[in-house]
Amino acid sequence: MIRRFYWLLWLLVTGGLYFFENNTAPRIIFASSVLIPCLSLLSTFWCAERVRFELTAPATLPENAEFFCRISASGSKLLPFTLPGGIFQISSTDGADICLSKPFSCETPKMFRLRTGSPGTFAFHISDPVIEDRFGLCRIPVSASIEKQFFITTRNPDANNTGSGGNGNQETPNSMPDLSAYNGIREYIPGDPIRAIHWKLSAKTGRILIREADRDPEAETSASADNNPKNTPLEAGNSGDHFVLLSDLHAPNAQLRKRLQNCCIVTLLLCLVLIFLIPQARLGTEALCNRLFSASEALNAYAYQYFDIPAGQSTVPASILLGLAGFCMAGIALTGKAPLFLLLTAALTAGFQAYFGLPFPLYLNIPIFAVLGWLLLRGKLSRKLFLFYLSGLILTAMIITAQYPGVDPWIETRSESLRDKLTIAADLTDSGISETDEKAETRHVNSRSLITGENESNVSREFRPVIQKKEQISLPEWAESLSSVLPYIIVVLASLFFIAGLIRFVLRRIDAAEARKRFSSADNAEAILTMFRHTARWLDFFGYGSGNLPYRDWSGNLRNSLSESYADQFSQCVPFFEEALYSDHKPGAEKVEAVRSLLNHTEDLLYNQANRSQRLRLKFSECLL
Amino acid sequence: MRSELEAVIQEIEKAIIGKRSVIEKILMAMLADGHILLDDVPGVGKTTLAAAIARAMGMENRRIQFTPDVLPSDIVGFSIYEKESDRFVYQPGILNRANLVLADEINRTSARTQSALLEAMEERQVTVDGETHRLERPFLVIATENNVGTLGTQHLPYAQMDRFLVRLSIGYPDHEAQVAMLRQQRHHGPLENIRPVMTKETFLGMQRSVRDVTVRDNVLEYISRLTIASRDSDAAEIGISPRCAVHLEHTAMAKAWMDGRDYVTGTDVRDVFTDVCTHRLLLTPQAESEGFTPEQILQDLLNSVKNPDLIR
Repeated sequence: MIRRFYWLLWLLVTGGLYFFENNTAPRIIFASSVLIPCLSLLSTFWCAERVRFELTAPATLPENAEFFCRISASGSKLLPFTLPGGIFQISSTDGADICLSKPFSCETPKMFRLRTGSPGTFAFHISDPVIEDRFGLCRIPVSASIEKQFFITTRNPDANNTGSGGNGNQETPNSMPDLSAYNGIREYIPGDPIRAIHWKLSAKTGRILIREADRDPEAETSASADNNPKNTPLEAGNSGDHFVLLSDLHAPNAQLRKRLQNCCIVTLLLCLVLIFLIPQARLGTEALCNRLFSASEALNAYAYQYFDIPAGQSTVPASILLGLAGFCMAGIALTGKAPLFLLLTAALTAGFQAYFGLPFPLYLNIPIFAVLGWLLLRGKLSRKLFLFYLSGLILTAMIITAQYPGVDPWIETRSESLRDKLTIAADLTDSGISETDEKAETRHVNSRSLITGENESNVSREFRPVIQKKEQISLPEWAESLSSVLPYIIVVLASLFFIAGLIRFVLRRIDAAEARKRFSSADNAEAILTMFRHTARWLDFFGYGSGNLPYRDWSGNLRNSLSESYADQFSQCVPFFEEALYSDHKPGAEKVEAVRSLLNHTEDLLYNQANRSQRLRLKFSECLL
Repeated sequence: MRSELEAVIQEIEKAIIGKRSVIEKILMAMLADGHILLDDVPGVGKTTLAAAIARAMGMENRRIQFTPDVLPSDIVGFSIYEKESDRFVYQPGILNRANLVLADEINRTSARTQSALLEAMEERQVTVDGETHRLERPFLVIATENNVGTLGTQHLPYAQMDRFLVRLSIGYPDHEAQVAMLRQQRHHGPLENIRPVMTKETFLGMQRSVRDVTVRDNVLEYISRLTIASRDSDAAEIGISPRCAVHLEHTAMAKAWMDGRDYVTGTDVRDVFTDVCTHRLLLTPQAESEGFTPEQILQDLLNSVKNPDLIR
C-alpha cells in the first residue's frame, strides 16, 4: 500500500514540474512516470499465470552440516518488471511448529546456506507465492506452492566431532583455515576471511574467489553456532534450535553500505546546521539566491524580491556547504535507496526549477529523474531491467517529440518568454491559439503583460494559463526520412527472403550433384566417406538419425525404426567409414561396394516410404532423378 | 582385444572375479603410461588387484601403506654416511626398485610425502641431495583413497588429482562373483594360481605400439572442443586442463590399440572421456546444490559437442 503512495507522490512531483515548466523535458518525465508503471502492471498481470517456482535442495543431510538450498522462478515471458516472491519455510513433519521462515524474492535464482540441527524428517516449503511489479502497485498471488521433504540423519557414531562440544579439531569462528592445501575454490561470500582470497585466480576471472580450506568434513563447521533464538534474526518455532544460519548468498555487503550511508546523513545534517549557524554561510546562501533571481529575470518575464545582503558578499562558504550537502544527498540516495528520501530529492529538484523558473537542460533533467526513478524500483536491479527501463524512456521521448513538432525543444527549454512569443506568432498565423481573459494567480511579485510588455500594477497574483490548439505542422525530420524509405526497405527484405530460399535450393542441388560425382571417386576413402555421409543424411531427413551420437551407436535406433537386417548392414559399414575418416589406410574395393550397397538400399527403402513432398524434395534437391 | 592382453586379463580374473571392465580400464591406463587412482571402500581387492597385475605381467610390485608418519625419504630414498668410504651413499627408496607401486591410502599421509610421490610419478625420477636417480621403466602407481573414517586425513588437492590419468572404483562384487570368490579362496590365497604371461619388455613394446597409433586432426580438434566446452560450462568451477587433454588423447590411443586398431576414432574419445575427466572437474556450489555430478556434466558435454563423425 505504501509503495502506491510513493508513486502517487512521484506523479505529483513530476506532474507539478510539468505544470509549472511546460517544456519537453518535464513532459517526457511525466509521461514516462505514467507509461513505465503501466507497462510494469501489464507485464505482471501477463506473468501471473505463467510463473513457476522451483526448489532445489538435497534429499538427505547429516546432522550439524551445512548445505545449500536454491530457489528459482521460471516461466515463459517472465519480464524483468516482475518480482516473484514468497515465504521460504522449513518445518518438521511431526506437527511441530515452523522452524524457519523467511520472506524472499527471486527474480534471479536465490541461494541460501543453511545449517542442519538434530535428526528428523523435515519439509521445505514455499508458501504464499506471489508476483509483484517493481513499482509496488500490484501483488498477485500465484496458485501453486511447493513442498519438498528431506531427512536429517545421524552422523557416524565413531566421529567425535559432532554436536556443539568442542575438541581440538573444531574450528573456532576466528581460526585461520589451513590454506597451504586447500580443497577447492568458490566465490567469496560476505564473512569469509580476506586472507583466504585467491588473488591470482580472482584477478584472472574478475570475480573474488577464495580457497576453500581442506578440513575434516565431519568436523563442526565454524561461522554461526549461536543457537540462542534471541540472537538470530530468524523466526523460530518450538523447535527453534534445529536450524541456524540462514545467509542469502546473493545479498550485497550491507555493512559497508550502511556505514557509508550513516556518514552521508551526518555530513548532510552538519552542513545544513552550519549554513544556518554561520552568518557568512547564511548570507552567502542568500547571495546565491539573489544570483539565481537575476538569472531567472534575464530569461523570464518575472521580477523577484531580492534578499538584503551586504555588497560583495562571498558565496564561497555557502557554495562549499551546499555542494557538500548535495553530494551527501546523492550518496544517501544511491546507498540507502530509501523511497522517502528519493522522493524528497525529486521534489527539491522539481521545486528548484519551478520556483526559480530555471529548468535544467534536457540532457540533465531527464537523467536525474531517470536515476531517481530507477532507484525507486524494488528488488535487484539487473541489466535486463535496465534495458527495459531505458527502452521505455526512449520510447516515451520519441512519442512526445513526435507529438509536439514545430518547436525546437532546445530553444524551448531555455526561454519561457521565447515560447510565449512563439505563441503570439502562432496566433498571428491563425493556428487557433486562444487565451483566456480570466485573471488567475501568478507566482511572482510583479507580472508583465506578455502581449504589450507593460508592467501590470497589481497586488494579487495571477496565473495566465495559455490554451493551445496545436496543429501538426510537419513530422519531425527523422520520421519523414523514415517514412519515405520504409516501402523500399520492405520490398528489399521480401525479395531477399524469396531469393534466399531459391539460392539455398540451388546450392543444395549443386552440393548434392557434386557429392554424387564423388561416389565414383578414384580415392576409395573419399568415395566411402561421401557415400556413407549421404546415407546418414537420408536417415536424418527421414528422422531416423540419432542426433549427436557417433554412427556406431545408431544401430539401436535403426533396429527399432527400420529393420534388423538394415541395422546390421549399417553396423557392418560403420568400421569402413571410421577407417576412411580416421586412418591413413587405403580401403579396398570390396569396402567401397559394401557402402555403395548400403546407400542404394537406403535410398530405395526410404524413397518408397516417402510422401509426395518428400519425394519432390529428394528428386530435385538431392538430384535423385 | 589383443591376444597378449587377453591372457593377462584372464590371469588377473583368477584373483579378481567379475570385474573385467575395471581390469581392462586399468590395463588401458597402464598402456597409456598413466597412473591410476582407486577410490574405494576397504576390502574390495585393491591390493590384490595390484599384486595380480604385477604378477601376471612379470613386474616388480611394491606396496606402500601410507600413515601420517611416513616421510618422503621413506619412499624416494635417502643418503647415509658410510664411514669406510668416507662419503655419502644413496640408499634407494621403495620407488627405485618397483615397476608397479601400490600407494595405499595416500590420503592418510602428510602433504609433503604426497608431493614427493607425485613428483616422482610425474617425472619418473627422484632427486636426493642434488643427485637424480631415474626410476625403472615401466613405472606405474596405483594409489588408493579410503574415504571411510577420514579423521586425520589430507585429501588430495585438486591440482594433484589432475596428475592421475583415471580415477576408478572397483566396487563390491555381485552375488555370483562373490560366491565364486569364496569358493576359490576356500583353501588358498587369490594370487597363488596367477602365473606370469608377459614380461616387462613386452609391456614396454606394447606401450611403444600405442604411441604409434594414428590420431588425426579431427580427433584432436574434438578433444580440444570438449575441454574448451568444459571450461565454458556454467556448472564447472574449474574445467578440464590441457594435461587432461593430453591424457585423454593417450588413453584413447590405448583404447584403440586394445581394440585392435591403429587409429583413434571419435568413439574412442567418448568411451574414455568420463573415466579420464571425472576427477578433474570441479563443480560450482550451485551445481552441487542442484544435485549435479561430474559424470552428468561430462555426459552433457558429450551430447552438446559435435561428434567428429558428423562433421564434414
